[in-house]
Amino acid sequence: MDDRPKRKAKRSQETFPGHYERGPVAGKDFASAVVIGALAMVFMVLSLRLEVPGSIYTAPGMLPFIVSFTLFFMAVGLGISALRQGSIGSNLGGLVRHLRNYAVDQEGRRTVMLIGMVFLYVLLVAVLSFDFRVPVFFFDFEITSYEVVSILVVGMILRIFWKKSLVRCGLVSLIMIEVLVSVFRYGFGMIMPEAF
Amino acid sequence: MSAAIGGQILEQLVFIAQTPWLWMVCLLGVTLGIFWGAMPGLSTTMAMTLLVGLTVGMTQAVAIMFMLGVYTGSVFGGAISAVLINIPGTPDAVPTMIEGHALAKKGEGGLALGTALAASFMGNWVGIILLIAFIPAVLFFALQFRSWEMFLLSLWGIAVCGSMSSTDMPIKGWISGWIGLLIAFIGLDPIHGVSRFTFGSFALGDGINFIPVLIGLFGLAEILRVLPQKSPATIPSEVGRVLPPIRTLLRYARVSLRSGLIGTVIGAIPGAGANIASFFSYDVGRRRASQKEKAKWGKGSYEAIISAEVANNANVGGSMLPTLALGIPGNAAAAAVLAALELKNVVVGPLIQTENPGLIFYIYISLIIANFFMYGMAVLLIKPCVKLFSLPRTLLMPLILPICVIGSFAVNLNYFDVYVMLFSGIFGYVLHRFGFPLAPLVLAVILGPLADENLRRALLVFEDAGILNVLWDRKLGTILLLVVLYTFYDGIFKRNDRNSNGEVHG
Repeated sequence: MDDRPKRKAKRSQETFPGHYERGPVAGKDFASAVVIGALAMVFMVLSLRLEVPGSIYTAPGMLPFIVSFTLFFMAVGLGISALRQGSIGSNLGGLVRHLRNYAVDQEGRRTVMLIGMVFLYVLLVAVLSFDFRVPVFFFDFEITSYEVVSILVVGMILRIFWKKSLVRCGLVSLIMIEVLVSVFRYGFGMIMPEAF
Repeated sequence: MSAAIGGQILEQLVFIAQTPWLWMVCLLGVTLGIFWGAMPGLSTTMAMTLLVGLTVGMTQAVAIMFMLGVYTGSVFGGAISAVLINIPGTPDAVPTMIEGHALAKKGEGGLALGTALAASFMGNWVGIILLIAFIPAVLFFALQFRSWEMFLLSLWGIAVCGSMSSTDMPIKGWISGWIGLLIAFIGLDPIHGVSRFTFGSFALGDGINFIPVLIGLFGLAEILRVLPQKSPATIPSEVGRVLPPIRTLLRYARVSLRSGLIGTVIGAIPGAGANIASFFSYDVGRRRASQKEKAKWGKGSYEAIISAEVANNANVGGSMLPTLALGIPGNAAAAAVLAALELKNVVVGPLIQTENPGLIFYIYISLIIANFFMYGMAVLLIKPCVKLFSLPRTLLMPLILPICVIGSFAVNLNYFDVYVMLFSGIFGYVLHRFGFPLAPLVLAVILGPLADENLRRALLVFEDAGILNVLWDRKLGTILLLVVLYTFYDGIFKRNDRNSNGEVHG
């Protein structure tokens, strides 16, 4: 008797983060199996190509080879379990549909935009390097590129996702970043990323 | 002999009781530790390594009290962000995150944290009592773990984590763990110094640190997952009851004792750490739970929180044992305690009791005091924390982003780690979308170097011995090997049987 619908129903239960997320997964599993299988083969070749300075027992590529070899078989296992739920065509068709929906869906577009903003944030912090010192009573209050970039980017993200007024988002961002940086810099004596 | 030990304990008790300054320093350390641990992405190890610098001007007694306060506080603090915003401060808080956040979403965040707190308190006590009572036995058992056993223990940790975090399809958990292992192999190999998978990059030569990976996978990936949602779920701001009734706690006494034992023994094994202890205890807890309780596992089980939290807190006491008695830190945070002791000219090792009589007892009394302060401070902080973290996610998540950058950068003061965090976050987001659990990947990045070095060392030792001789001579290793094989067998065959019978849930 075909137990396919029962399995599918069971695999679409609600999930929790950090855990295996179920859903219409056969297509995703099949694609994952192909990518992971290919990755495992690349690592197998790379492990074999590593030099062996001493005994074979201490070869630097030994455990990486064993791990990638077994990973390849796990990928095969995952692929077979995906194929049990549908043919290659239907699996890939489902995946393509899923990716197309993701690209059209508002949440998908917002995610891509957010990834872009985080990329920009990390790059700006790496590229920009300046600092101002403002004398406040008996010590110099430091304002650096890290704070400036953080305030701007976090303010922008808040404006887009929190959807409050620009002034409010800017103010929240300014206060939070300054408090955070001051605690780390003056309280714990930590160096902020802009210093390099 | 026992009278002399009793005298030393009494002497330390009187000294601490007469020095209120020590109590204040302990309270300060605990409070700083809780706040540090509660910040998403900032780990116990980071707290210990950064705050060790503050102990330079302190006396030996004050420095030890302060560091142990930070240690105890930050281990519990990790549970706050794990339960309330689903981002663990440390890898060992992942089981607490899985169970606690599910409860927080139902409006039981306060009680989930209260249970984690009570479990942490019990865990610390179990760890300390077991150690004081069975120091020689625990140490003897811990020292049976040599290279071969350490390799198997690491492998087992990853396998258990894989099957626990992907109950319906353990193969996905193992794949995640195996990818983590491949990431862990990047860099110079520890025996010959051969570059592995660095592709000529100088930055990759140092390898991939697990902290940026943890922050990326759980911090940034969570931001990418939650923020773009149309209406991200927030946890209810109603705190309700915080501390669980005594009767409930008594019901879990057996679970606590078992988890405490696991945490202490694993803590005493050099290098094993709270991560293995917490996942192992979580796994044992599920296997031993009643059918009714098993059904709640992964969806918000108080018993599961107790299993994991008792074990990782009992680990604090356990990890102190090899640190003090052998000079081998039980984990990275214990290494920071060792550094603080060395700053004060204390040479740890087998002669510690001869050269510094009473110091071991002072350390254990400090742990007990820190445990009480941790409990008191946490009770005060739980309600404000629940209120704070029940703010809209669209407001909270963007503010976590700069902490992720600072946390990654602060590990080695190297901006490359921020890029590692960024790529880990995006990779974690993709893995999550494709249904792979993230916890085994982080655990494998931590345990990978340990597994690699120990396997190669063990094979070198076994070079001329036959397989049968090895299996017979290394009985503990053989038992562990069987347990590892059983974990895979259970994941592949038994789990499938249970699934087809509809027994296993999430």
